[in-house]
Amino acid sequence: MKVQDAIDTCIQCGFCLQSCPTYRIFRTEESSPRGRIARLKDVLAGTVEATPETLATFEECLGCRACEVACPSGVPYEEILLAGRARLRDMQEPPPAPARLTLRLVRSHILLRAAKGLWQMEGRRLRRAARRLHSGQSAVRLLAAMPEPEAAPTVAAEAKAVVQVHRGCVMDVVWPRTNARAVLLLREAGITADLMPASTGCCGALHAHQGDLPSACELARGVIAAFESSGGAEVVSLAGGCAAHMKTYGELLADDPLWHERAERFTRAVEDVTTLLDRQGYRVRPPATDERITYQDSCHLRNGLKVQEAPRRLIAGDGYCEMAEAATCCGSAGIYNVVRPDVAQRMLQAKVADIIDTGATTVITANPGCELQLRLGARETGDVFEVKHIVDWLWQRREEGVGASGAAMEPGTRPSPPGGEKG
Amino acid sequence: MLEALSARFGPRCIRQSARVRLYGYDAMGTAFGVPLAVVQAQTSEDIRDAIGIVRRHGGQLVARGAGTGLSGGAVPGDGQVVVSLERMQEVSPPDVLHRRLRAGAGVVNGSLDAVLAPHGLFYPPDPASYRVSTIGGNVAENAGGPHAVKYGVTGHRVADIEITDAEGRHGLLAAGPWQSGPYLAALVTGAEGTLGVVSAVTLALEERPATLVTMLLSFGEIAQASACVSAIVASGTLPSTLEFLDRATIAAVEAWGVARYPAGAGAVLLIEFDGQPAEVERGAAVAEEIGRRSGALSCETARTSTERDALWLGRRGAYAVVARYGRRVLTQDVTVPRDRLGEMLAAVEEISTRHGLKAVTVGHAGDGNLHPDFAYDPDDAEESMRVHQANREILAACVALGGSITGAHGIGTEKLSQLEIMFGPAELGLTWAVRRALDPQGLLNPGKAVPEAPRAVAKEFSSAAPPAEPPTTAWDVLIAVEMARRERRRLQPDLGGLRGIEVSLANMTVRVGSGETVAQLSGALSGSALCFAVEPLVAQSFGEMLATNDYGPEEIVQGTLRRHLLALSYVTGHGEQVRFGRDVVKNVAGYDLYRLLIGSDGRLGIPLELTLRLVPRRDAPWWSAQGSLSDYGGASGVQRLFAVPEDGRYRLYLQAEQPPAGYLPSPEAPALLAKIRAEFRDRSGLIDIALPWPHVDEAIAALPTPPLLVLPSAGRFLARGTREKALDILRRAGPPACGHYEGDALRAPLDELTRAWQERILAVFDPDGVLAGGDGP
Repeated sequence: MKVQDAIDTCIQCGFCLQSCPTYRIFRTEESSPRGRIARLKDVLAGTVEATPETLATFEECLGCRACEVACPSGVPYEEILLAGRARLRDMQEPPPAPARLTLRLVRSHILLRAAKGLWQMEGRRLRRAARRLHSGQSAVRLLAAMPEPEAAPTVAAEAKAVVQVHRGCVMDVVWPRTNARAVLLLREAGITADLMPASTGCCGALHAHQGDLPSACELARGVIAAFESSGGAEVVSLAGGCAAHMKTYGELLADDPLWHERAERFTRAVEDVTTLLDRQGYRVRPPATDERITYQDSCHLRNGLKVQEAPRRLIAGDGYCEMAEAATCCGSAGIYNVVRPDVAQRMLQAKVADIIDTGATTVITANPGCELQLRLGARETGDVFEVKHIVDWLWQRREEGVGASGAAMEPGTRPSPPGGEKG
Repeated sequence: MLEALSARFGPRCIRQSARVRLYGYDAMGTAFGVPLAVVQAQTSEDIRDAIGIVRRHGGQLVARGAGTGLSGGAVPGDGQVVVSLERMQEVSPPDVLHRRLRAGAGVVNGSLDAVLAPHGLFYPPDPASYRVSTIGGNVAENAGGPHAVKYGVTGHRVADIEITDAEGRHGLLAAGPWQSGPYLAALVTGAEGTLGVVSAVTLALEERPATLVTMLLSFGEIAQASACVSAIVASGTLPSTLEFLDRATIAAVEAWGVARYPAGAGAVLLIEFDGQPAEVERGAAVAEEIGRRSGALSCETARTSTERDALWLGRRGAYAVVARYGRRVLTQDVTVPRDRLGEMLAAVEEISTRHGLKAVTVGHAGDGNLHPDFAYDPDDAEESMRVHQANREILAACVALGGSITGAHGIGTEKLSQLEIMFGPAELGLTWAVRRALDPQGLLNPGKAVPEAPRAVAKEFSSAAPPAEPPTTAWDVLIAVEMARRERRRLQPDLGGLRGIEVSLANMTVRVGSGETVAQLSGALSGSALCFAVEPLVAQSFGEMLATNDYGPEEIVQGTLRRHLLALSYVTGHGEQVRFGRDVVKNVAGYDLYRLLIGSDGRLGIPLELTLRLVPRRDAPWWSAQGSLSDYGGASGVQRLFAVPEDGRYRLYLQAEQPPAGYLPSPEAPALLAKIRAEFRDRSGLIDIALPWPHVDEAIAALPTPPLLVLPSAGRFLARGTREKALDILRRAGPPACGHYEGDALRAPLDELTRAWQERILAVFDPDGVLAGGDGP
């Protein structure tokens, strides 16, 4: 859809206002989805000049897409947001150093691999140093909140893997163990799964969300090529944000005649790990301990891919307590917590309060960015709760011998076809 | 002016053109203006100062909430100053016993439920935009919502309004059950910010219903659905919701993907019953039976709150989902008497077909309030013209059926030129005179809500025959007023000759002449399932009831006449014969110059005929217990409440489905009440006073003898005593205390805003002082 057409679908009813975290904080039309759409409309019409100031509201947006769910008219808000950010990028100074560094780092799998080695060797020390610094600098705080470097369990290669687990960029550096566990859980659920090649690299979501579409396209082509050469039939992601972005490759490469069809095929093959496990009927019995758990939605998983019940079904049990505003963004939003730490911090504080209200000792997430942000929240409020990726939590249940009851499937069988959450 | 605003408000005064443009629209989408500046108010002082600065510089000002209006009411004109209230977010803890909550103007309607639910209370008005629209905006437009069929609209739920007027006076328009004097809060509600800027509102809440059933009936044809609606209304069961969606809306909601409505249905009705389990069960059974008889294809009942929410979400997004059919949506808001709904739907169909258009219709069928929408392309001039022509014809058809051109969306700019379809020169002239009186400079939201119109000139009656005495027709009253004006004397009208009772069970309304009494109406309604809810303590005519706003023990749930008056015709002291309101339960066309007269001691006009809402008869058991005046919390399904002194304390009598702990059955209560009422026929030495709650105990303690009767929910008591004593009590309590001594109105000194407004309104309605009224202290 052209941006102008996307803008024209908005009839300014305002149903999005209260769904928008930045509007609820700033209470000004400019910080609302409706205001942002009106701003870009003005800019495109030439009634308002495009300047870093007039476009700053697109940087302020978390991109959580809660407004898309609230919108009865079906406005494709993310397209409008990305168009606004692309224009902003053309004229603005580059984003702050840590954000720039992240974007640069994840773009190259060689750098990523170096980072992974560095984190394995020096992560413990770096993390300790960051913890001692007591710095208010968001990058330092996030570093201090990182988990300890971890060794991944070895995953026996599976030559005929039907499902390929996308390793991700930051995920592969900091949480390689979680990726490996996902493969093992999927196999236990009767799916022949394997990790995608280590050289696959970043999906480009961070770049696209920053308005850097050329980099996003380049990375997308890399992921598609790697997937095709793996011979798999499905791609599974452990990051809601990445899964939602990879679902847009078809549109992202729509104007690229060489890649468009391949991108469309890829898009159809993408799925989030929770929906696949859920569809396979993977269940763990409720914990025997008195652990209380709650779940924080990944915005893009919920608002982009419309996945909200599958992860909840996987962790359902007596110890589960739904938190208020679980669907509200935690402030992580890709690298938003580095770009706009002020807003991110306010959102995190509200989120931590909602978590504490549930009395949960463990918060479960389905996206590494959320996990890191919530870890930061936990660390800075006296560690009254733990934060776990849903795969790690399921793994832990399994390790505790509670056992899993998956629908046993013959190795090599294709998983049942994806069909969203219905059924 | 910009400099002054910036100096006062700093960064809260927005002036960059890119930013102020974002305050130039609302949800209607077609009106747009570029304000000079936007002030983000946080306190009532901010509002006062903004008004002061704008007034000094000869500017104009528009108050805005969330910008979700559908008639352009909060859209600024170019160069005006917007005062944004979206940051006025203060909410006080609820007063659970008296069911009150004070909320800042910027508080979002939908956020109240989280505050109220833990106390077993709720705030009923829920316009489709309730998740985003603000209380201030709801008051400005007198917002309705699907629950209005049972619980009324915003105007029925507003107790006190804190407001700053065009001349910078800040004050409280008190409208608790103790207040008399012209009902100014009603005037402000729906006035679209043309009379003042509201900073906070005290809301009257409801007991959260014990049970709730949500049903969805689907029909092949629209006519079947509309027949079903009429039959349900006429059955005397009172649904809390009765909503209608047509085929095109159902398809659009399907595309949104949030709700699953029966595929292929030509129309669906979303029906809800709430309240006590027995009445809910009965209502649902009746609705299902009527549905079957009307040819319903299916009847589903939502079993979980998720299912219920899904059914509701489809209805609430109906306006915006229509945008899937075209780039712009022109939504209408016609309201007709409920028994004319089928005719209105047929008229919409006929008119849109004739203009080659397809109307997409949803509506609050239980209120007779329909929203036929046209999706169109604003760049297609020919199509736009057809849309607007069809629109005007639909409005005319609605007025011809006795309806109102807007039930809940307001006049704004959109319908400003269409008010004349509904009102004549006398009504429009009077309305404009009120606007001018309260905002002489035209500072507040000019060009909205009410059109400029000359005041009608009093007619020449010299050749007329002498009027009947007492008057029996409007003509007699007009002549009597004219004679009194000419002779510069006061008029003591006897309303006894103004008679007539016209019941419409199918619309749940009645028209009564102002000389009729409650007892006469009860007689006319005997044998039907409906009744008139308000029973004044002192037997009187409806005309007197309008003057005094008297009520009885039912006040605790039914409120006063304010919740039950739908329309009124009267003759002003200026000699105009006017009729405001309609025989419909939702109506926001122009100022509310009918409920304004409630409690005004007959000083604004001589009432001719009232249209009243009827409610289903209910008869719960009576209970009683000894205790203090506040020992009635915790009852469920309350219908009436009164207290009499007993052994230095009180005996409280409560009519309710479920009494609070400690109450015992008390079948003698009705006889006792009748005996006390009979005593009031002799008004000599009778003090009848209502006070804000904190003052009630103290005032009663100061009486020479114990009171005869107390209505604890209203803070009202009746006692024998002297006029001096009564005045002393009022002076101590201060405004808004008020009352009567031997039937004459007494009042505590008023705050500056209320006094100024009362004087100016009186000067508009009765410039020559021909209408007699009680004297203040």
